[in-house]
Amino acid sequence: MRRIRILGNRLKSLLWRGKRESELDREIEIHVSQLVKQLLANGMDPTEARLEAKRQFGSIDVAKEECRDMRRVRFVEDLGQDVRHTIRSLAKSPGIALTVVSMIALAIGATTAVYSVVESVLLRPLPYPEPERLARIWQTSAKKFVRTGSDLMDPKAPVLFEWQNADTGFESLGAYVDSSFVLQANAGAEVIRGQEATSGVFEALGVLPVLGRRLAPADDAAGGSAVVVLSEGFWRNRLGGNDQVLGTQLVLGGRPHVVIGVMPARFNVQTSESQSLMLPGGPPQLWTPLSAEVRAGNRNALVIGRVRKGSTIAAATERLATVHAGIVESGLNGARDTGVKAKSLLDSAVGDVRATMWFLLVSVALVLVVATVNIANMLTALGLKRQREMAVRAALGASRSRLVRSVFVESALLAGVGGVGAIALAWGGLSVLLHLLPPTLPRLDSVAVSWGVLACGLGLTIATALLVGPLPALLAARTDPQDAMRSSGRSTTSGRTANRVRATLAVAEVALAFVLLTGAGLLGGSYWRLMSVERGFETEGLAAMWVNPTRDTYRNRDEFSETMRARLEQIPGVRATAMNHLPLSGLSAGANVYLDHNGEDKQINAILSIGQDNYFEVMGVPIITGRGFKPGDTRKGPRIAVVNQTLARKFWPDGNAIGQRFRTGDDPNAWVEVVGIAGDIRHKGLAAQIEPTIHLPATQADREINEWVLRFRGNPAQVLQRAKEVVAAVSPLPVSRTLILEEAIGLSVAIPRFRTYFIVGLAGLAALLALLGMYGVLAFSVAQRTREIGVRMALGAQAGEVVRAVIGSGMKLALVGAGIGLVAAWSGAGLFSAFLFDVGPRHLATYAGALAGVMVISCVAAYLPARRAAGVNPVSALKDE
Amino acid sequence: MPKPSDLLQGTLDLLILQTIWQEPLHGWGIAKKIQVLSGEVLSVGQGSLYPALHRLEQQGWLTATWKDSDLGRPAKLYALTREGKKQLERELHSWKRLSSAVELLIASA
Repeated sequence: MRRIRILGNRLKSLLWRGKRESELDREIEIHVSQLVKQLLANGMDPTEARLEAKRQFGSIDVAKEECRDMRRVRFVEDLGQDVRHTIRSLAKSPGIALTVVSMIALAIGATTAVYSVVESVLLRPLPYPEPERLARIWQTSAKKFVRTGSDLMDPKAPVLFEWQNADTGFESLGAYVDSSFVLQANAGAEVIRGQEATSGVFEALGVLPVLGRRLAPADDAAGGSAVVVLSEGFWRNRLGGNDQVLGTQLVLGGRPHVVIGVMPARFNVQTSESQSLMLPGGPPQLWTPLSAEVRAGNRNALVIGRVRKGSTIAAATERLATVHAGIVESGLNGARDTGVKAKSLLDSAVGDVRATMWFLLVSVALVLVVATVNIANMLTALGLKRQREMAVRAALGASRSRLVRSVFVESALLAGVGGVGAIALAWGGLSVLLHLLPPTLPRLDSVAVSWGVLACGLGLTIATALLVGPLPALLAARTDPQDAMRSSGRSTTSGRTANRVRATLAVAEVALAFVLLTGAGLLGGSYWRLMSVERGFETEGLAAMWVNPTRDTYRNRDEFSETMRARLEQIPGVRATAMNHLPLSGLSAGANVYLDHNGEDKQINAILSIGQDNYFEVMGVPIITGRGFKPGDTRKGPRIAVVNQTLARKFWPDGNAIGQRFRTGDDPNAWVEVVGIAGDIRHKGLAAQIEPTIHLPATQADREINEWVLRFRGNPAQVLQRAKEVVAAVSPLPVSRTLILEEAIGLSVAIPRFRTYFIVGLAGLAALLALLGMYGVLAFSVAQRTREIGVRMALGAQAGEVVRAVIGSGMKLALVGAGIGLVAAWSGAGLFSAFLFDVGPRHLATYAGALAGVMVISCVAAYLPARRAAGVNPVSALKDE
Repeated sequence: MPKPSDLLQGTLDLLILQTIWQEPLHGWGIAKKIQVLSGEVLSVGQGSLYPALHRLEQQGWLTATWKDSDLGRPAKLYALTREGKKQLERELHSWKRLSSAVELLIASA
């Protein structure tokens, strides 16, 4: 009760301060006038009575002040006073205040937004129970695979079955492959994306179905009944979320499948990296048990496992490795010379994006540091401006702690306003960032500003206030009132110290800007090189689509593809050709080929690229020597091939490739003769090495050619629409996926491009901040030395010399900063090399460029102060003092 | 007229609380009443009366309201709160202990 009354009193004192004051005045006035009345009654004369009353009462002001102290709200009131004072004085230099606030908001907002992305992608746990017990498991091979550049490969199903039968450290193991399914619906056939999976996948991930049941061990058995589990998205969008769906049938690949369950949306099983291009986009729509083909081990399957409670992934993998060694011993097909390796499922989902994420965070943090340094710099300038005021306040009796506090209040106020702005900016910035982020980043669908991110933003705000606040406060506390009052604040020692501090800060900014400029130069140059890589074929105006074969179309493939091509080329302005490997699609299956090497077989590994006779023409691949395909290269004629330059150079360095022979594994008895050499094409990707490639005419090869490439003019969407209609008319199966090549290339470089744009933008920001910082130092030092410059000019110095001196001191700052930045960038460059293509992390020209950039910044920063210095009028400068 | 003796340290609170326990009074009235009731022996320094009143109000022993008064104009009248009455009892109790101790000492020394 009493506490409430006390609190109420304090609140009243704070909120109705004016009323409290006037009541105090009146109360005391009443007392004094009563005294006067009493004295008058005693016969004193009025003037004397008033004086005597005041004498008796004592100091009214002291009494009032003591009464005020009794309100116990002194601290808050002083703080309020400081805040009001700060707002007033900041309003006098709104430019600086606005710059500081927006700089804080920008830097922290950007950091927070980037941190949210990093958190969502890297740190947020997978949406499964006890996700730390989940692992992805690979087989390792003795040597690295040329194409993937790693020694990891996904196991085949028979290997997994062996693992499942043994006692490993995993309580459940499962395998799945991405597949496309042909769904027979009322509207016609449609290709949808799904996965073939074992029950272990469901068990390991531990997600319960929203309806019905998941795949069970009984479904794993060979020849089991045809069942299908649907995704929640498919169930809702295609089947209207009808819960009568269980037990109904879905015709997939011509075979009825019984619907047994629906999995919730979060059951979004990671897809394999290499197969995705041929499949329809989006998440898997349904799951079926493994097909006979996968069971037999004809395809590699992603394997995941859940470690037993209390065990670790490493320990479980060790036991699995022992088991696997036994399997290798037994000579199981597909296990020869392999080991096992496991990574946490989260790590495998995040993949090599981890480095990019940290890179983003570090570079944005660097800018935050630059911004903070710059804010400190500006606040110091503000503090210097107010040194005289501080001195006056100190002389009037303000305590040192009170002065420091008032300066601290200033920083805290700026940081607070900036922090609020930062949080707003983080929310807005994140949605902008999500649009800019490469769509190929994993787990991007789960990005949202979380509480942790918000706390991070606020933490940064507070840290900034603490970091920035003390600097000017310390300077203010050092103020010697006499000293500051005597001079006009221009030549005091503390002024010099402050300027030295500010010069140091400017140097730090330049150093950081140099680091970022170097990074931007390296990444920019690398990206430019990547984009200007010789692709080997005309990518402009090229679209592709996938048409899955059926048994019939495969049997009559020559005829089928001829018909299809003829019909496609009826679309105006379109040339069409079919192939088995679309270049730059990220896919490139190699095959063993045996070259005839002086009568002996020489085994090599090469990409077998199969195309129609107009392949080179439509793709725009030049034939260097010999000939390309001809319509006469049929199954009946002699087998021919065209090799790429890389293969020719590597295996027939004497330039005698034409006329050489080889055999493929497909048909060991048929010799194939090389009739031409074609230009190199990048198959795997822009940054990947060119592999030996053999082009075979489709009319002589026994492989599917289900990738159709259209060279077109005009609107790609319209052309693809027309092409789909053609496919619908000719093929029993519809188009499963389309792409426009330039778009696909854009997507394949989306992450490096984003990294590049990101750091270029940040470097620009850092450069701007450094420029501001340097400008501040130079402008201040010119203002400080106006008198000195006046004296020099009076003594005959030319304007040019003065200008040179100012620009020279700017250059000096820049050089020192660049030197420090150079050391930092040089020693940290190694961390960068993973992001660089065809350019070393210590590329000298880039460093020189960054140096030149910093020099330009220093000249721009020095320009205005130099002009002001040159314009100093000696007479008025000297009179001014 | 002999000069009223200074107040013993710490007794001002007791005097104020005791003075107004029957009826609310303004600052002037409290000062006068202390002077009169003590037979002109005790006098409150005016400079210390008001800070003390404000402190007691702040601590919740007193409430203050502006009301018409015997001075012919509204004045700030202080009254005891319920907690203030308890506080007065505590103060009286400790004062009695102190004064009897002092008397005992004087009598027996």
